[in-house]
Amino acid sequence: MRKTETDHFGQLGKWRVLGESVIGSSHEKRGIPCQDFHDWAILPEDIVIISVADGAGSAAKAETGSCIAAQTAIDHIISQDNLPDSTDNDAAWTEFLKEAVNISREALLSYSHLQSLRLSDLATTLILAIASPDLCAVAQLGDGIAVARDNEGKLFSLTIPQRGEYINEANFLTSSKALEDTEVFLHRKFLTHIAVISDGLQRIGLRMPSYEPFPGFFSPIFSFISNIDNDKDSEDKEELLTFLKSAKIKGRTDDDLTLVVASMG
Amino acid sequence: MINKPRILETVDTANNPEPRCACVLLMDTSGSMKGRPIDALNQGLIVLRETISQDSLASQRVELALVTFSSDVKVVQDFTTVDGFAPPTLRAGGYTFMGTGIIKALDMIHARKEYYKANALDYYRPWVFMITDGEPQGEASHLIGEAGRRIIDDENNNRVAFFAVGVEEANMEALATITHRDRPPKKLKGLDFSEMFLWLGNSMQRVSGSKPGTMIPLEPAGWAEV
Repeated sequence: MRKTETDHFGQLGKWRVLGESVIGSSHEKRGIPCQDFHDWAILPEDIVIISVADGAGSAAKAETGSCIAAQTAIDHIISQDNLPDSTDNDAAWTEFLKEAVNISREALLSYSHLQSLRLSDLATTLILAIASPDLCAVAQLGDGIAVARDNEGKLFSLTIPQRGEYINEANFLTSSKALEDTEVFLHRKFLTHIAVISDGLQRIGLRMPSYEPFPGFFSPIFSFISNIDNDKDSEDKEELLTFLKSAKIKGRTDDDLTLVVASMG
Repeated sequence: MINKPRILETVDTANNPEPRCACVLLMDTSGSMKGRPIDALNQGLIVLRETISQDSLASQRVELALVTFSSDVKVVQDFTTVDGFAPPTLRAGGYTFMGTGIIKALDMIHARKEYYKANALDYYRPWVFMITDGEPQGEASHLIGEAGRRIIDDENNNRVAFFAVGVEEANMEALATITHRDRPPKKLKGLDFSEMFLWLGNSMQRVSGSKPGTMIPLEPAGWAEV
């Protein structure tokens, strides 16, 4: 987890954020590391940014690819002097997020050159979300999903997982079409909660095939994050981790899984 | 802490059907398979059932169908998850209607996908796994050519993964002409069907547990001649 988490946690903004990536049982069995990675940061003016990347099981260095992708996107946004604001038009936000996705892709390219790897060895998906009190923009490449609750208590999906005919096909940041394939979703409303999950949790947390968030799953998680104690961060992290490693979840999927959840106020 | 709702106790999980992974086992039961080959094949089917049964997700996701070809083509078992798959005792005899069998298997895959779509079920790329010890015999000669074109067209369009395994005196050159160049036929070592079906069961587990975007590399086929 990055430094900004502790630097900013409970000081600058009203966002509470927790995230965990957990290795899937099929990966444990085969001695493969967790190929999911996530990152997040809270910025001034009540802005939260979240990234989730899911490395492809077929890629030799998927765990490195997802780590670089998720961290670079967050680092890039943190390093910007000026973020678009809510009065900016959709195109400005789309361009801003696509640029962050592009910087992540460039980082994968540089790393692959440096290490003499094929770019496809680093294949990963990427979801990048940025939320302020009156706007949320999410870039999506591949599967996984971002969902939210608004200030009227309504649960809804912020994005749609991208996939092909078969469930084990996705778009990747390493593809030459990555930027073209990246979709940016904009919601100009006040969101009280945001969650980003990797595909490992899709069948557990969503109603299929509509990809609507399943209230039985997300409502308790959102209540939980609203109630976490800022000064007992580690205890809450532990609880989230215990939950994600429980039979309730692990009995339903053998894939790596990631949950990053944020609550405002 | 005690009065705060605990996440684990309060969360409910969505009850979605599992994605499906269809596999047609297409078995040569012509006369030349009589004796040890058919016995070993029957034993291998039991191994396949056991291997898939041991994995709880694969048990819910893999759908097996069994089609035999000799002097006709029989659907011995239509698509079923492994709990409904009772390995039969196959008997050998008759000609080798290979082309007819292949076309039937590919038609069944196509129909199964339509069923998945109609029922909003997610699915993996289906497999056909063919075993033969010979070459086409007794059927109209154009059928094997048609079957080969179907295999290559379906492979090129990502519709199916077609695996062909030759046993003993199988005509490997002929098999090579009907299969896709990226998935050439393999020759079974002796009659090691058990090892081959163990590999198939493990491969189905891997595929049915694979995450989006990943055409998981399969284990080396230790049962095949190099």
